[in-house]
Amino acid sequence: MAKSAEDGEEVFAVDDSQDTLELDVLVGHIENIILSDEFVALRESFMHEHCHKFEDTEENKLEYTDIFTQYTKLIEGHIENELSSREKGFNMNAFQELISKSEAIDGEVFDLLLTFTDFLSFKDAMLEAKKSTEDGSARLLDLLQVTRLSS
Amino acid sequence: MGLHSILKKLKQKEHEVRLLMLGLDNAGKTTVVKRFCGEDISTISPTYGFNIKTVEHVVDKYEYKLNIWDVGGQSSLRSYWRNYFECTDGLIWVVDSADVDRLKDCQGELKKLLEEERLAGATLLVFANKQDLPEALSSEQIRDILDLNNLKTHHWYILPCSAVTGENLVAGIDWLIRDIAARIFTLD
Ligand SMILES: Nc1nc2c(ncn2[C@@H]2O[C@H](COP(=O)(O)OP(=O)(O)O)[C@@H](O)[C@H]2O)c(=O)[nH]1
Ligand SMILES: [Mg+2]
Repeated sequence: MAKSAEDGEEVFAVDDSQDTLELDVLVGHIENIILSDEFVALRESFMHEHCHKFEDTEENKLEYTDIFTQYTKLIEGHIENELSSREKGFNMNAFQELISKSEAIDGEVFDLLLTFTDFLSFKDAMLEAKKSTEDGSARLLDLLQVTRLSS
Repeated sequence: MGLHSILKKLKQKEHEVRLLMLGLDNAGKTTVVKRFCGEDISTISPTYGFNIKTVEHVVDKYEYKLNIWDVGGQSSLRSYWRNYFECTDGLIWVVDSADVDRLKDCQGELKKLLEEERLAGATLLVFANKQDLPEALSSEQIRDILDLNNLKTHHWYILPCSAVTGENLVAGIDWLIRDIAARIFTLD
């Protein structure tokens, strides 16, 4: 956010125009889409498939970029498809028009969306997924160990 | 035209700028970025992948969020550069001004980049780096070797600098941000 906006929260003009209404509807759809079980599952299965390739070092391997590209295509494709099926006559260009014209957009949904297209957020999520997979298998090993000892 | 470009629009509203650092290996790209970000520059090793630095930077009272991408420059890695062109607002080309033997190679690589369609809209900043070395060529000499005076397709600027002393790094980035801002942001 620009320094100049410090004097006050950027507030977008509230008007009753058709545009604002349509934008609200679309943002609502997006929210529903990215909070749906289907979307969460889609993301998780992608993460689990690739997270073992990620390492917690500052320098990134070139292969991360391919994985990231696949990821953004998957996410964007899913959201765009869902939008078209939820809103008859949905059109990306028109959506973009609406956004360009609006002063500011409600934060949360778009913050979340941005994390899907931001490489560093993606890398963090991959490292998290890797860690939880490893913790999971460590626990499983413990469990097996215990079973063996007690048998 | 997809969701991606919509999100890009939103980022512009937040004054986010994407900068791509390229140049031959050993030019000093990683050192420039680290020095600019105020980090330790004594333990930098050659880059085989890429680094991303996100840093807030104020120019003319506006705060910008810079995403600086620094990609390895070994000849075997140069074919991967294209994967980082998308959405680049500014290209920073770093030159080892003392590596006279490779300036021809350096000129050729830059020329190729400037023909890339996906970099067509990017502003070019050339850092004639390593000016602290006595054998370094001047930025005017580098400008002539890179044939910048004949470059009409991009806004460009060249500055002598040193990533070791820090000379002109901020001045160069400030120029770049101003040029980009004038193009893509409506400042009010
Ligand atoms: N003398 C001098 N050495 C520099 C300067 N910038 C970078 N170097 C050195 O050049 C070498 C390559 O730097 P590096 O940042 O790894 O180059 P990169 O391959 O372009 O990322 C390192 O040994 C740096 O210490 C500079 O301005 N002056
Ligand atoms: Mg490097």
